[in-house]
Amino acid sequence: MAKHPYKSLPEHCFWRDSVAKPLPAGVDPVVRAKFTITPTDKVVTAGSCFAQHIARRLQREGFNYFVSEAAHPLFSPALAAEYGYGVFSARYGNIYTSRQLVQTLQRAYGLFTPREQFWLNPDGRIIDPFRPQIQPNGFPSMAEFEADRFQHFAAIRRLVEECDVFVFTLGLTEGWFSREDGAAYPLCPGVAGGTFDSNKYKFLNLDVGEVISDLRWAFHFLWSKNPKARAVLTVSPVPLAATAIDQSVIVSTTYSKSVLRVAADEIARQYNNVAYFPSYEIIAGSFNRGAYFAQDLRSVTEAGVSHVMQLFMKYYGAKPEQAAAPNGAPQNTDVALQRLVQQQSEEIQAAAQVICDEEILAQRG
Amino acid sequence: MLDAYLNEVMKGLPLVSKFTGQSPMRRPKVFGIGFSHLAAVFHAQNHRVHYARHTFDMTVLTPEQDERFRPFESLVDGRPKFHEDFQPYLAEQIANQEPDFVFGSLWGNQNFVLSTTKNLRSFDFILPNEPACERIADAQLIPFEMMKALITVYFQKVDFLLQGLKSLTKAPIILAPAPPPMEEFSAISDPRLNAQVEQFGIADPVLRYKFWKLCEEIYQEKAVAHGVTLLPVPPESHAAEGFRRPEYFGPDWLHANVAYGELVLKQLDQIIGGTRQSEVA
Repeated sequence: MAKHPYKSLPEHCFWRDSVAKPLPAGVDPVVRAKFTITPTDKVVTAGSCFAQHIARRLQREGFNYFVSEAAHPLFSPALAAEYGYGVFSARYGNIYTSRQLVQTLQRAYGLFTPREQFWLNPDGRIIDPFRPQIQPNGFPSMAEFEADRFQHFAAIRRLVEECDVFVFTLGLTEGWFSREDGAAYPLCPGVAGGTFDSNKYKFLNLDVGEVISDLRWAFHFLWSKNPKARAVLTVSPVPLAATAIDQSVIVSTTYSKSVLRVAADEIARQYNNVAYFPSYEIIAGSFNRGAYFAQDLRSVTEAGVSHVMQLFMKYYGAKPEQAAAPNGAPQNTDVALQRLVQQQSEEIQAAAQVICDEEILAQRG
Repeated sequence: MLDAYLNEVMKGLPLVSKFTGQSPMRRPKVFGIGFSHLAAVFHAQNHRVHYARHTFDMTVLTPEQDERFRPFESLVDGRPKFHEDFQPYLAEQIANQEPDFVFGSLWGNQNFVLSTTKNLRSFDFILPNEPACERIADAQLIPFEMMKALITVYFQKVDFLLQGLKSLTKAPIILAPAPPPMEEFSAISDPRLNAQVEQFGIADPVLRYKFWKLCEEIYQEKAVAHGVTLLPVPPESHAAEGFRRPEYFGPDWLHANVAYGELVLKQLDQIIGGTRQSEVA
């Protein structure tokens, strides 16, 4: 029998054995990890809406999920989420494009100041063009908007400088930009604030060279501030909700995901400390026959997220010998503080209540 | 300025509220309901009665103090549930009293809960209408409306009580705000506060002011939503910075004294028209 290179290839190289034959839940396109994440490694997330699933599961799976802009422990998780806390490691909202990632870092470090700093709604509310949905109806005053942004940028700087692993999910290539200075908006102006004006804003569909260039800049900047940081790149499997190009949204989605996938591969091959994790393939792969998309054929089901995270844990999670941190599990200081603050609040309330109950009887002229 | 305000709010009152056509000897009947800040008004009214200077008759109901209604408010599945025996009791009281006015002191300690002692994680927020108000250094900035959402939960009993009252009487309802906050506590010796302060330290005074203003906004919104009148805080009671003047300090760090209660009675006099009636009598 003739010899050829395929003879010696492992099972995962063959479609029939690794994709068609196993049950969908058993399909494993990861194969190997460039590095593992220990329980003490600070993991941060950013990216498109699929990254929210990753962020949520990382917290649940026991990773040391690093949040540099957390809600105050006084607030319930539900209320905090309404105000954009806990969704990602900082309160930046969805970062859909590579250009947004670059500019978010630049803005946090004072390297780029967009000419258009805010949108003023007719009702006087202030909208942050770069995170227009970070809190309901924007900011009630310019003072709060500016102070909050100052605090937000400090939180970004902290996570850049302290993280061990940066997980970034690439979402889109299509985006809207300022004609004046190229500022990249997460949403088309006019959708969640601002007013659309074709003289001020332009549509761009980033090509693969632009995305690669953006990612190179972002990682070099990250390493200039934090040389030890490693990164995991993923591509969101969520199709475009709409395309600004006059063609089928399916065609636009394929272009966008292809560009992002190629760019992620290029970067992961170029840098040893950047890995590509195939969440796109797990969710969008034909092996699951669409089972990982909900009825709208866009939203990712919990089963799909579970498949992704199970493989993430398998390859990137701590091995048994690494599982125990020097002093046991990493201390979640936020949870501990939250308990203390809640206890404090209850104590002061109780004290005030006692006084109120007695007041009518106790007070004398 | 206060007169202008009161004239304005009186515009909306039905004529019967001014007791036109009634006997000059008849004093208006006021049904007071509320929480601990009602005490200052109640005791001031007692002073007036003692010296026969009262311009209206007043009975007072403080549901949280009544053993029969404890706990007056409890959280069930995250929502407030009120004592089921209270509403029938309130109905009976209103039927017996047939008040001409209802006076509510329904704002309790909401503004003090988070602004008395230092928080383990220092925080601050910016009042939209007073953006230049002092900021607390190195404190975590919390979105104003996020804080408002948190504090609004504590005001749900105001909705409950106003709904209950409005279903039982057509008498005009007049609300009073809680007294302005105190800038410092050193003038007050309160063992319960001392224990808290020893443990956590005293919160920045500006935080007490901001919480008071936040609560005032919520209370005002409640008043508008229920179509009732909210008295302004008596202007004599606070300094320019918004803190309560020492002459109105009560026996603890929460409450005002009888002198403050008298200021509120004077506001009521103007609305009810009792002063004029008294003079006629």
